[in-house]
Amino acid sequence: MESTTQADKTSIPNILVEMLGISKVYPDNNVTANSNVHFNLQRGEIHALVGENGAGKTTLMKILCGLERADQGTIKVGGRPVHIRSARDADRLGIGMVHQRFCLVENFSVADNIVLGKEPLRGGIFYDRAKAKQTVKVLSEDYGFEMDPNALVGTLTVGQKQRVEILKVLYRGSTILVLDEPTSLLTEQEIKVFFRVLRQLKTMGYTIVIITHKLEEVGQISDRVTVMREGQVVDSRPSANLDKATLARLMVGKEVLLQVEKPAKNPGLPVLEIRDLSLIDPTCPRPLLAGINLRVRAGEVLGIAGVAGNGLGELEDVLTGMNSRGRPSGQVLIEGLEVLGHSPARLRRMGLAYVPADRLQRGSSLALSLSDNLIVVNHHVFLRFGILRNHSISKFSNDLIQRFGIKGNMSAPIGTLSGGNIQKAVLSRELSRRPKLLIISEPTWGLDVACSEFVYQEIIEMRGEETAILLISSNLDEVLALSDQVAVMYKGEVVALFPNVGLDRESLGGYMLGLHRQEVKEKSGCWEERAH
Amino acid sequence: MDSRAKSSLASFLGIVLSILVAFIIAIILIFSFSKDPGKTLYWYFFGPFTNPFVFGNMLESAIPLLFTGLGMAVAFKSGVTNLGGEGQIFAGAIMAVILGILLPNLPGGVGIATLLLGGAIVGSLMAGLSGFLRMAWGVSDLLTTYLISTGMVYVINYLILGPLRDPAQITIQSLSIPAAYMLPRLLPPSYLHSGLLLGLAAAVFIWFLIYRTHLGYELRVAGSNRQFGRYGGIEVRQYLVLPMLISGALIGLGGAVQVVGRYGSCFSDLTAGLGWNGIAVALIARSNPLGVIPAALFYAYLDAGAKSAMINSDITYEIASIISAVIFYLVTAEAAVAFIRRRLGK
Amino acid sequence: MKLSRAIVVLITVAVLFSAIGCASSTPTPTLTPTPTSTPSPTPSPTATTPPPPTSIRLGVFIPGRLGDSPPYDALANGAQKAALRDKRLTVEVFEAGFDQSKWQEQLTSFAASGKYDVIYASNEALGPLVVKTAATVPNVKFLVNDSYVTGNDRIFTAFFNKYQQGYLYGYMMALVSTSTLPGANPDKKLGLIYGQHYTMMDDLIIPGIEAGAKAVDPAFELKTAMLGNWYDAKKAESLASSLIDEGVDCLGAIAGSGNAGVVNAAKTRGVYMVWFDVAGFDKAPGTVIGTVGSSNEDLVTLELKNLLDGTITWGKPLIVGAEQGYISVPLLAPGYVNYMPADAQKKFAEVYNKVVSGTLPLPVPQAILDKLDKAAKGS
Ligand SMILES: Nc1ncnc2c1ncn2[C@@H]1O[C@H](COP(=O)(O)OP(=O)(O)OP(=O)(O)O)[C@@H](O)[C@H]1O
Ligand SMILES: [Mg+2]
Repeated sequence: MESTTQADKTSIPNILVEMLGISKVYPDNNVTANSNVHFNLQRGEIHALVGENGAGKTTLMKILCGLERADQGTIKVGGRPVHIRSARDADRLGIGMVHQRFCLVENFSVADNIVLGKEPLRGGIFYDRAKAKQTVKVLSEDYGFEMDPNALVGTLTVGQKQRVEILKVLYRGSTILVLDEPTSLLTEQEIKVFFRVLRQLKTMGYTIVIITHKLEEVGQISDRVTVMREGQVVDSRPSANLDKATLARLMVGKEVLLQVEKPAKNPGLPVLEIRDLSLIDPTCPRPLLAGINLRVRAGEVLGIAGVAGNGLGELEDVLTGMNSRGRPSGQVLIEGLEVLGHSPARLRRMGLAYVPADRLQRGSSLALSLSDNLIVVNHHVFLRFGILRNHSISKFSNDLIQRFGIKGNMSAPIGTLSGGNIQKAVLSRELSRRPKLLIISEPTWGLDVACSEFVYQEIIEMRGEETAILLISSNLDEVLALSDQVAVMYKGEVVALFPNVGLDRESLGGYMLGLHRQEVKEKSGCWEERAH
Repeated sequence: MDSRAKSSLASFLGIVLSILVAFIIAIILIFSFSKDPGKTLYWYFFGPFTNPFVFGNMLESAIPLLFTGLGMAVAFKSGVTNLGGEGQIFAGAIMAVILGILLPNLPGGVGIATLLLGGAIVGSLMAGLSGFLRMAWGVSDLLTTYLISTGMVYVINYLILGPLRDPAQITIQSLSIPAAYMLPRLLPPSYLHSGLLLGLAAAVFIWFLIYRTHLGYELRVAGSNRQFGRYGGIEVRQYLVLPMLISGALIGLGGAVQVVGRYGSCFSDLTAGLGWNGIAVALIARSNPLGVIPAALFYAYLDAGAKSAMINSDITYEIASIISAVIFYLVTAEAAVAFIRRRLGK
Repeated sequence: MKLSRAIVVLITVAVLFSAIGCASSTPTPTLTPTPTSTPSPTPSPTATTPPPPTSIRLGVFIPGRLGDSPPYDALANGAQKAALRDKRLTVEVFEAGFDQSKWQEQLTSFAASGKYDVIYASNEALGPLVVKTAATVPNVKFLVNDSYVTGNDRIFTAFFNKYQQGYLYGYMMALVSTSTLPGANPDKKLGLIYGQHYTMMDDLIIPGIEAGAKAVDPAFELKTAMLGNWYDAKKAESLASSLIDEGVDCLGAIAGSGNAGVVNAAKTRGVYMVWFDVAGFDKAPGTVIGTVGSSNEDLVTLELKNLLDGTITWGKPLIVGAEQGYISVPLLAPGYVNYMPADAQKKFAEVYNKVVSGTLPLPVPQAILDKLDKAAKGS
């Protein structure tokens, strides 16, 4: 049995999966996503797969899982060459994948989603829902997931959805799990829980591939790491003692700073003022937002930190006119004008740029081409007599593609871009405008290090150009690195508001979890002191 | 450009492949049901081209499908559901007849234009009503288009039986429009008429509208992802109504063309099935207005082939229908699956 | 420059539109090509050579489907039997389906296929279609039952006296309604469920039924309900039920497969039926207690015999009725004898004998024949 490959420098026996000389060109757009890739996986390890956006990580894993076909190369499982032509083939070999984009049916229950496609049957014909619930309950208990099988998937947090996806794979009996950027949408707390689960699965004998852009996670969770760049594997080695900078250099091919320089600056006049903003949904026991008072001035970054489910998303929706749930009250002013309840179209005319947390459903239309996506906000500019001027559109699109390094063809559907490149496209559209107010949510989800850094620089640059910036993020490091002011939300309330001087993760963490709250200083009556 | 060409090439290959598979199945069916399969095959596949009469008729039967297919393609592209094609095309036809009877003395060209316009407006209003109901109260357009259309079919049938009936005719049919309002025949003695040119022009026009204009862009954005459109600053509410107006207008126009092009009057079942087949045509065309042209011709070809095999060889109506249905549904199913996959963003 | 491309496209569209406009402003050519001015679309040379007198290739054109319709079934069966009897005749049957808008085209293609010397069809609506087809396709001849076309030497039509048949039908129903049978009420109301409007129904059968019923008692009233198709038995049943609610105690049904629904309603509500065209006693003995039949197949046999003998009167329609035995009532059928009250039987026999002997002439009104003829030839 062949046990080592040229890419595997450590030469450890017990190799479970080998991918040899894999090449893949997407015929649609002629992109070489993988070229002569060697990749292997040892039994019982957690293997990190890292690389820039568009490096071909997802493609490689899709090939392993039968979702794409390689043009060349062989795959061996347990030493035997196998042909994986479909997800079902992969299923039989015990390989299962959790995707970068969730594939769940929102208005099905957790149990229904998990058994979908492999439902327990009564009498060989009828769907046995009771059995499905029971199975799912047992399954989630076995793995230490807290899951209500009856809950509708649409009501779950991102972290919970993630767990549903993993349960789906486990339910099918897979022993090799491929997780595509599982942590990019999770909060830090959720990531901790998630890693505990992964370690437990590892002790139970599962083999796991985890794709990630958060380089610190490589050391935290994985045993080995494979680095890809431009469709090729550039290195594969044990993760122990590997520092972030080295990894980043391997990925990008040059030094990465991993540091943001934020020049000191005096803020200007207030651009966004939020007064006593509340959001009440009669179907929900507590207010989604309760008496929020905030202010963002020109040339200032206000960072809002919080754990998912504490009103960050609702705040984003209400401020940008996208809210569809409940009834907001209070005041929102842009440069002194009342805008609460205005449509996004009006807000945008008033100078709003907005990067939503939900890039795939809200921030882009996957079926439309990249350039169609890029011009959505300002397509009026490209009209002559009601007819689109394709020439200027291409020029504009090309501009953004170059500046933000988007890897993708502008006339191909944006859905064919890699996950990170879709994110970049959305960011490029919003950041390229010179708005008065930028509301930006989770700016670096799914971005590689180099690109994250670039986005940080763009934000700082906009700050320099007197844009008022509201940054909503569950990533504390990001909030601390970029903000001038930091607000913390807990259960729909702003429980703390500090200037960003001498703040650290630990002290903010306490507020985020509701362990402390700041005493009311200026505005009495709005916030009550509460002890925990 | 290059990549778009390639991707449409890929989907084109997909269609070709499914057509091939369907044809193979059809050949197997013919071999098992026909005593003279060679002859049946010949007539099935080449029959429509053997003389100008059947060839012209084949092209003629593609005309209404061009219009209904275009109407449905617009609806699909814009993310609205129009299941009311049956009623809209019938309403377009009866409107043309009514106008033809009421205004018998216009100059020919003006008369034709009036009849066509009338048909388009009626179809447009019918579909637009559903769009409005959805915009105003969120009523499902899937439901209302179907219900309004079904109700309309009853009303029209009543009109044909009652007030509009031509007592001089043996069969139950409406009064006829003046002969001056009939489109010229292109290939007599076949029924092919110049409505074909109108259909082709409509396809080009709609293609241009959808892919090259401001309106089309906003339609596509709102249609592919409403939330995204709203987010991007497009007033998406109106795009529940507007595409319906366009879709209904095209389908109603198709009905009027049937009248001024071929029948000159209206009878029940004049347009039966054309609305549904329009959906299938649009699916095969991948909702691309230019794709509607080959899709409609393909459908017409199958139909003509079946007829020709029926008349010239020994297969029965049932078998011919089954064969056509197998081919057609295989191709449509492939298209429908692709459509659903696109909708779900894969 | 994309704008220029846009303009090109717009101009193309404009040109196409104006082309259509121009074309339509030129005088419209006649829609019906005459046999001399239009070349035959037939691809086959055989159609242009006259048929050898020793053999006749017959194409039966069914504007519908076989299995449900007595006239169509009789046509196909009669023709096939004739071919068995006489080797000179070969028969092929073509079912065109119910889509009326396609008949003309199909008939033309069928006739032009070159495979037939004579096309045989049945349905009143085919008259105009056959005239048009004969004009387009030379040499082929046409036999059409239930139609009326005069003066075309390649078209022979045969016509059942549906007025007479309706009269006998209405007379018998009225006798049932006025009888002492249990379930028969004093109301002078009869009911008829029919599939669809068509000239023979509206202008001959229904007026015939009314005349027959009024001959029994002028107070009789006929209530009709149209099914809208020829198959929906469920709907037919509910229509029949509502007629019964209105006081109808004897029902007629001319609704194809829908008749079954009428039988159900009559049986459960305890009223009576008289069957049309074929014997229907076995559908529900005691409920269906009479039949006024027409012998479609006999007529087919006769026509084909004449065709082979060369004695067909081309251009002169044949009208047949009870006098020639093509409309008949089985007076001795047990389903009739055992259930119909004796005095009613007697009264009916009297009228029937008068009709058969010709002492009670019930001709098809000439106006209707003219109307059919005119409609067939087009205005
Ligand atoms: N379905 C597809 N059709 C066409 N091209 C594709 C498709 N999927 C991916 N690609 C292209 O292949 C390349 C590699 O994509 P892949 O999704 O494997 O990247 P990735 O390493 O997972 O990136 P990311 O970190 O951004 O998710 C990209 O350039 C992308 O545009
Ligand atoms: Mg990826």
